[in-house]
Amino acid sequence: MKKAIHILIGLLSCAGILTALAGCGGEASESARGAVASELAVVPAFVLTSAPADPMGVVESFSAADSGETITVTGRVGGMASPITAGYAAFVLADESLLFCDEVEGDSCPQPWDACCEDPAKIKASRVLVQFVDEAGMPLPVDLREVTDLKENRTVTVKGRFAGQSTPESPIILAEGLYLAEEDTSG
Amino acid sequence: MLPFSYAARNLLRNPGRFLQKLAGSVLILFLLLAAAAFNEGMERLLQASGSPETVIFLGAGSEESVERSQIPVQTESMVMAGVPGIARRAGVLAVSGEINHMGLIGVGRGKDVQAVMRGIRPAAFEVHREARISEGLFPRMGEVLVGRLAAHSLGIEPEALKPGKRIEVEEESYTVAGVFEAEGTVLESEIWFNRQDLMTLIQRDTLSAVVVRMESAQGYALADLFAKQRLDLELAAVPESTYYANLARFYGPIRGMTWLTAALVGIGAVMGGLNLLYASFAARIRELATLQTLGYGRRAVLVSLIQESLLVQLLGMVLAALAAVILIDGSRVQFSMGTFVMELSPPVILASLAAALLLGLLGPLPPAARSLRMPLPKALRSH
Repeated sequence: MKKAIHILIGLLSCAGILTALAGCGGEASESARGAVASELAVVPAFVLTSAPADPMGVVESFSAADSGETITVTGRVGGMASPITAGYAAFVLADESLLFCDEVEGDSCPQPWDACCEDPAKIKASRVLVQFVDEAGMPLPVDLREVTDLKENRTVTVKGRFAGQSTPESPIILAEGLYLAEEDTSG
Repeated sequence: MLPFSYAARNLLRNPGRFLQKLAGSVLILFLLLAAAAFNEGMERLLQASGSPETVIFLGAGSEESVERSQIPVQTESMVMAGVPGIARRAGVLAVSGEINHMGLIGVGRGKDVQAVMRGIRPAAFEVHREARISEGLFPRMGEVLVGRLAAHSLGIEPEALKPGKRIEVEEESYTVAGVFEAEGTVLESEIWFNRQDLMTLIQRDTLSAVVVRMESAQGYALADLFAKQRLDLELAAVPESTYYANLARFYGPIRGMTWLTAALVGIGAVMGGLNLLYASFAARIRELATLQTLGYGRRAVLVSLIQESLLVQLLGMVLAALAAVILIDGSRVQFSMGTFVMELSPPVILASLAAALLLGLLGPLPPAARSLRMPLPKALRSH
């Protein structure tokens, strides 16, 4: 009887410890990463090792939207709260003329790339979607953050041409090359 | 080792002290159950309200509050045409352009209460598949559909919102056409209008959001890409689960306050309990010394004291759980987003059990150490 009660107390104690250990679990599915791995051979080819010559700003590039020519455009990844698409090789590039929050002295905005201090109409007129497509013209199902050092607020230069379905209100560049400028780590 | 019956008999040697210890234990564990049930109820409501396959298209900049969002009505048809991978059932695309509005409902005796209103079309039930009409019909012009917990949120009797009853909304009269259920989600606290009716009532010509159900959770990437390919629409695509997770974080301080309040009262009870234990053990110093003289080691005496403490805590756990079942389980708590139900789920009960075991194991250690460390001759002469 005594032993049975002692065992019961021990089991209750173990139950409490096991409950505490039973916590959250679950790992992200590896199937998505497996799909990305198959594209790794393609995306890195887009990454340029040296800066293309004579890039133009985003706003300046709109003048070449109807030419069909390959252009080189530089800008900052931003212009909205979440400029990098999750799951597809596409991101929004904003003109450097926009007032980004980290350029305002004393501003500690957690998302400086959204340029929320800027005139909304100017933001709307100063950004373009950059996307990498396959031979069929479909956006590559790759998250650029996973295969490159691309992140919000980074200055990048892309080489490509405006898409056929691009409009002045919704400009789209089909990119062929991506150059990531050195990050400014100064205070 | 000392027999277990020794520990059990000692419990009732001083009934007054036993009841005090038991009351302290019941208080601490009841508070823990209440705080855990409150937090879990709120978190479960907000998590269940967000489906992984559902994506909300909001106005850019309004990602944290759908009530502030305004998007053109045409966005609904653009999303239907432009976003691939939308779920479809019987040929109907799961796309719902909705209006979310906080407004005043007249609840009688001249009293107005804030209520969450949603303007919908029938496709809303293709998107919010956890919702179903349990009584009555889909509202036509001049009618509303009320959630099962809407009456509780408004602080009125459920009978007042039965089909056929009339309610006053922004000084306009509406008939309750039906009641819908959406178990465990914030939707159940809402009042749903025919979308055109609500637009007319609040003089609005824009939507708050277009809610879309994708074929799978991976469909979010397609929705996000569409929002960026159409920069002119100024949309943000947010997974519904992310939207409600962000809201849950917003209520983090409230949940933190609940734990803090429980902790502060609990600390007071623990201090009182420790005080009681010190006094109790001090009164038994001679007894404990006698046991050691008879050949029982300090470890055996300590184990017996821990057994007594565990018995009190486990009994306190049973009484606290009983009180919680009567007073807390099934209680509805209203907050700005809706109403959630406090439930004594297995994790809540097991957490309290773990706390009881911890209190029982660790609580007697400081006073026991003090009592057992005294030299035997001195302890035998103590009063």
